[in-house]
Amino acid sequence: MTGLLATAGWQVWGKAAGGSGSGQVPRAFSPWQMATLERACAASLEDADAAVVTARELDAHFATTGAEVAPDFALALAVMEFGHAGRRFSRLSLDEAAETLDAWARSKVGVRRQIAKALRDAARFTWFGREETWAALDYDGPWIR
Amino acid sequence: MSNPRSGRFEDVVIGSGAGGAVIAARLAEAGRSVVLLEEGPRVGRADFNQREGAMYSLLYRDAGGQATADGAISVMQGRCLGGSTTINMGDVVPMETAVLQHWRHHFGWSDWGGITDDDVHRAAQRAKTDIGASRITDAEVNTNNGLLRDGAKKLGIAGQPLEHNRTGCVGSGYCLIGCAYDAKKGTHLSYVPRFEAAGGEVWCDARVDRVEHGAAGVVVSGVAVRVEAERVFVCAGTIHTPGILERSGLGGGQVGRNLSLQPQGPVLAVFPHKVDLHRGIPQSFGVDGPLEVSVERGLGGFTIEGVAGGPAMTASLVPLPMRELKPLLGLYRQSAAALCLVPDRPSGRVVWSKGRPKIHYAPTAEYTARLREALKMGARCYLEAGASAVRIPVVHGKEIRSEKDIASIDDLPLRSCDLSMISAHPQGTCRMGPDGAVGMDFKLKGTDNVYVCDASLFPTTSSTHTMVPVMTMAHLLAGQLGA
Repeated sequence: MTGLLATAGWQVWGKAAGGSGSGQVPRAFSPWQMATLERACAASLEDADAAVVTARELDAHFATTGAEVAPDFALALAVMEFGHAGRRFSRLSLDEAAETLDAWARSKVGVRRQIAKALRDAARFTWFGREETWAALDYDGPWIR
Repeated sequence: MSNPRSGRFEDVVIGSGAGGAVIAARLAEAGRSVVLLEEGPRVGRADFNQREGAMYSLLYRDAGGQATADGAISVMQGRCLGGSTTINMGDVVPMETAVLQHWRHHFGWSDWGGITDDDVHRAAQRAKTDIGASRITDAEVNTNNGLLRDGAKKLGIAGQPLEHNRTGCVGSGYCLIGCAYDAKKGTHLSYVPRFEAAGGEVWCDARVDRVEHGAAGVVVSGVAVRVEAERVFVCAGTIHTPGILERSGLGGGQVGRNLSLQPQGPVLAVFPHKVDLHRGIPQSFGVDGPLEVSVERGLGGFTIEGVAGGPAMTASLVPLPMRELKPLLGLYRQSAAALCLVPDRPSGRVVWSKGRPKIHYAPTAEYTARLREALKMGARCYLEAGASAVRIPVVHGKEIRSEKDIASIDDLPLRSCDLSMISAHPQGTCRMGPDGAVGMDFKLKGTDNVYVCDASLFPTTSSTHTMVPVMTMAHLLAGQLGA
């Protein structure tokens, strides 16, 4: 589990950020991993629609620039999906997933805190790097258009 | 993938940051044939689009995600032409004489080939001149840093504008993701052009995996690159220099040890008016905490400096549930931020596994105690300047609205991953000295033609900001080699 935050998944798809959704988009994760990732993004952002877009960008990142650390991130997703009593993480409601992620962030278990931080940081960096989120922050944006 | 490149030179330098670019320029200007290898891309102002996502990917190691093995501390490092000097805050802070004396007395630097403290001072001055260093004027201190200054002044705490290496700064605020106006004079705009003008070759996208050495010279090889040379200068930084050496079977058991990260902890504040921390020079004023510099202890205490991040960095820095974070983000333009820079003692190690570094680091209890004091002072400064609320971005953190609330910082758990922490000044791992991996002649012990020149050399933390100390070492090495 070491080196997990190195997988923190900064949005790195660069100019392609936002993605076209075409068949050419590279993929790093399997369908169940994507389901976990989407739920983790939803829990981090408390927004299911934003989670879909964010998870897709992270998937593309880990398939390309972040390929070296994709196995670590996949391990984090597996622990998140299966690492607690009850249902799989991807099957929790948005509220339940957010509560679970927050509980992990506060956990006495270091690995849980590490996973919660990595997933949350990745989701938030990716989502708030997107231009459509800036108006809500009153961020006036780059000088270079 | 780059086309395979190979060649024979007199010298090969690995890394184009504060160490590599300086030694490369000095060697080339002395008439040597030199190739400078940079793992990252060749970048310039046209590439810097001021978007965090794209720029962290383009310019940073692991797209900004390099971190300690426990995930607690982001270890920021440039991976592009100019290395970290392309993406740093541009702070110019030479090492103090007392730090050097600390190393002379406690780490065997007393006999340093005749290099005196004055020589070190002159080398630092030379570096400062080369990168256009100057003191930030009062008028250039942005609102965020000005609030920190004003609060400190009301509390009777000293401080001053920092020195920096910008000329013609337009105040866009995007220093951390590449200056699109060529104001900040990182090595990509200072030493690398000099190097190329002197006939040196720069090969970017050239990752080095191994160094082999023998009496006849060295062979440096990696992804689509192979160079034969008389000498090699390994300047890949505190985290990756030991990796190259370990992969090459060089340096012995001391390589990778004695890591300092000098982690920085943030303080956030909200004001009833606009601050626009993302505009102007992001790190322009330093509040003097009880920064201690002594021959006995080296560098200790702490200092507090303004800082800025774009929306993405800011949002990822605060580990609160979204329902608590969202109202804070809505006040982005009324927000202020500072980093508490707390020098540490070496307490970490870098090891290499499956081609990647694992950065093992645990802050000491003594460090954490000083960090708490720094966080409290930062909170006091912002409250005194009129902040309506202050937040330490920690999982269990509550709003701080009064001096009474500040005491709660003593109770914050500050376990691994509780607080968002950043390291921009990793040091150590290839310590220079009688007990270290590198001799006082900068040569890796057991070799005659493998030199190390970056922050990995420092026995303890050299300064609060390492760019100029590393450049200083490179100038001293060049002097030793007659360049």
